[in-house]
Amino acid sequence: MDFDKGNLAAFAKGCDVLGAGGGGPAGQTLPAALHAVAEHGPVRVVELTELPDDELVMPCALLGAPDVYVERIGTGRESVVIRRQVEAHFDRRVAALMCTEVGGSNGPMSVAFAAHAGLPLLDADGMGRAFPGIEQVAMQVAGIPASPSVLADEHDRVVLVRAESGEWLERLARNVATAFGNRGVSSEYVMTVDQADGAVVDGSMTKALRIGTVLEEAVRDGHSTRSAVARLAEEFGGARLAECRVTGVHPIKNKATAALATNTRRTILLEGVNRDDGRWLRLEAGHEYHAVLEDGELLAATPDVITLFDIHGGEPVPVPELRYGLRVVVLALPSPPSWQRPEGLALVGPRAFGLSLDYSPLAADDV
Amino acid sequence: MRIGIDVGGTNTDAVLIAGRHDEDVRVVAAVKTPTTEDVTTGVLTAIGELLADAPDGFERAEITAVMIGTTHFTNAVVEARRLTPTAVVRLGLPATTALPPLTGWPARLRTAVGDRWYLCHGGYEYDGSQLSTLDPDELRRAAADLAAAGVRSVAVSSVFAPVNGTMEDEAAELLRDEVPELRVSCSHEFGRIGLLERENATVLNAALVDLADELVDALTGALADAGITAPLLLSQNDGTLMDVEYGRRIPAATFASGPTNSMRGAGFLSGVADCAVIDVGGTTTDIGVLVGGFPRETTSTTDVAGIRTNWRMPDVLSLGIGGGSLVRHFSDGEKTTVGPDSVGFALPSRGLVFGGDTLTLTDVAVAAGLTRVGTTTALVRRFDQARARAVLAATAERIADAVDRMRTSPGPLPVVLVGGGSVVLPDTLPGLPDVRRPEHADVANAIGAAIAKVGGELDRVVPIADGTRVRVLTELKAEAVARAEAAGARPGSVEIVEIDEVPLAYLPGGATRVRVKAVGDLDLDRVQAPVSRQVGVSCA
Repeated sequence: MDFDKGNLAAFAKGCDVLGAGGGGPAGQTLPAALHAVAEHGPVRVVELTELPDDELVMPCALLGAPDVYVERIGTGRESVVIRRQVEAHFDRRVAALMCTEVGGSNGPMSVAFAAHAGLPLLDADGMGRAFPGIEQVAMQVAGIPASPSVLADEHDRVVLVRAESGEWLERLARNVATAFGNRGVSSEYVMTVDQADGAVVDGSMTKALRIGTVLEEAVRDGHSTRSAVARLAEEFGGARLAECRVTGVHPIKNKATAALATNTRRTILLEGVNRDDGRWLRLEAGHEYHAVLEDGELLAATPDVITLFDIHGGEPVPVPELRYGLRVVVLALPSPPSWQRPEGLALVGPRAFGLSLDYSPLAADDV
Repeated sequence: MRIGIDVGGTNTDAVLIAGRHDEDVRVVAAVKTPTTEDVTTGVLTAIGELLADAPDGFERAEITAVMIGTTHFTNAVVEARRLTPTAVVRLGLPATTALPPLTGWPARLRTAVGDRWYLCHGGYEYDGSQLSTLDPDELRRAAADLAAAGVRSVAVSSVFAPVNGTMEDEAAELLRDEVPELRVSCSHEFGRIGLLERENATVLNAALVDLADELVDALTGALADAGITAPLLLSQNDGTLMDVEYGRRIPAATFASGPTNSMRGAGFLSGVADCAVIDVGGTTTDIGVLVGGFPRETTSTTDVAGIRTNWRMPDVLSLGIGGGSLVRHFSDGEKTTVGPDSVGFALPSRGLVFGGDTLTLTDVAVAAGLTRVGTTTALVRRFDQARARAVLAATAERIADAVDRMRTSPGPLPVVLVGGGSVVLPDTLPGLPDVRRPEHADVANAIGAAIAKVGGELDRVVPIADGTRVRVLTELKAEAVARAEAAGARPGSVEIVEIDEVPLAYLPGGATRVRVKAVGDLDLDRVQAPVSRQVGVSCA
């Protein structure tokens, strides 16, 4: 499969769904991906089995603040100098670029990075969704070292950071990002193809594309948002939780901490409408949607993907854009199995985001 | 006395307004005339009829200002005609190559503006420090090249220009030194953060400068011919005014002034500053919300003829329901449908009550006994009144549901009905008991133009360290007030109407994006001396 101008819009739509309300809008980086494939040709999407075992997989992601990217649009070519640095450091060839975070704006951006670097894109990512932390990736659970972190900006400035722990790596990398003016591109968890086997979230690129295609087909066939969401739940073993109206968005100031995972917290109240009339849902959110509760019971929780769709436009609604009165359909999609193991949940389960809740697997809709 | 004029796609509406302040403003005369191709003729006709309608003893010298809202510039962009060949000079290298200028433009408009751009060094970081250094030779080469291609208008954009506009001004000066007649539009005059969207807005503006000169010359000439010496002001999309000199430089600021004027006029006529405005036309119903007398604006990007801009536009929800909407399956037992197609402006000839052959929503309203227009023919009379009422109730339900979607809080929300098609709506809507139909609602847009204020806005990323918030915000508010005063607001009348603080995720040092908007009353004394006026921020 290739990414080209014909399927990138659908892919971006899928990235927004997998963003679980976070990750930044994929629509913001879609034009960069389209421009990159127009300039360099389609990007081939490959599986690990197609690559030489001892060559490298290079994850790439935007680094810094989304409000800076919209102004200081990068080049997309940052991946070129990162690749050069990575190959020099490991003294091996990079066989494929990998998207660190499929959810949100990093999804389409990774297509641009691959196109500029002349690399194929691995059909995988590090999260299967969006998370705020560098270390909140499947490779961390699999024991792949995050270090070194290779960071680059548009001036071809490159910094390679080595540290003994994820905490120090993140601390140093964030300072480099600050020096870069809070916009750059970074690569961590560089691994061999052999190491990547079982350490990454497989199939993320094709999954995002498939999600976007299902939504586009639903629009084309004149289906409502609620039936489009039901089709997603059916195909991906998820659950359409309810159709609601947002009746309150409440920032939780006293619980916010300096840590990135928990520095923004809010509680959202959802009132059931139409066939869900009389139901009340409580949604806990940070950078992403973290948990949905009803009548004291947990309906869905991170790492499962909770996404809200605007019932009228059919678009996924990012956390910062939730406001009073919005009509939404709430969808939960199961997370990849690696996240559901204890070491995965410790990293990205509800408690990692400050919620005193235990994860329980999603009850899929009966099909 | 003031004259307010709204030049719409179909009608040119004009009102004569007495009173200097909001409290004592009243409508003295109001007229509706057809819009003409050249704008000016229609405006002159409207003024002529208006003055003929004015009370005895009224003198032209009593007119203190003429405010005009027009869709002329929007139409030029939508139709991609009469646009000035424009080049884009972006200061941002080595960054920003991921998305060159004009990315995502419809091919037709790209061609219409000449599809010419230059990426140059320059720009700032979010904290105002330099991204890279301006290269005068690079700019001189661009100037020579664009001059050779016959380009007369340039849009200059730079990374983080809203934080610091200096390099754009420097680049503008360098370009004009090389090409003396060059018109330059700078992106920092378009406020908001988001390089590509702001740059697009700047390019549209640069492509409209010739048309702006033409229109301003024609209008000022026409007013002089009509014996009116009062200053002319143009409506901006945010419900504030600009003088004609500003209008020549920033014509694109008039985009979407139509819906804004209509909503502000409706709010003013009904005496509520916080309300929903439902404008029912022939084909669509447009719903917007007024907060403190100003339309709530869209938060994200706005499409103008398929081009992404970050323009301040009123947040309007459109439904395919209007007085001319086609009604199907009304009497054959199937589910009755209303719209979205419509006979539109042909309602007075095609509606059943007007002797036509098409069942429209207006006919159903007549059958239900809700309104009496045209002739209640046998055709309409034989319709089941209960059925007609049920159709109207379902329509009202759809509109009420849409209003509910625009709500920002659960409190009571007064609703103001305007527009010719509003006869199809009952006097209360489900969940919305307070429905008002103000007098003169049919010329609400012209009234909106006449009561417009003068504004100043800024959008910055600023560091707000612990304990400095109040001081930083006070400084920014003062700057917004100063901008409003510089744009022609009467000192002392300026208020902060909007302040939006967003702490930026992933940025250190309490970096916060702050948007401030200030508005005040038009200072008629100052606006009468156009020669000495200093307008807002200006390109060097």
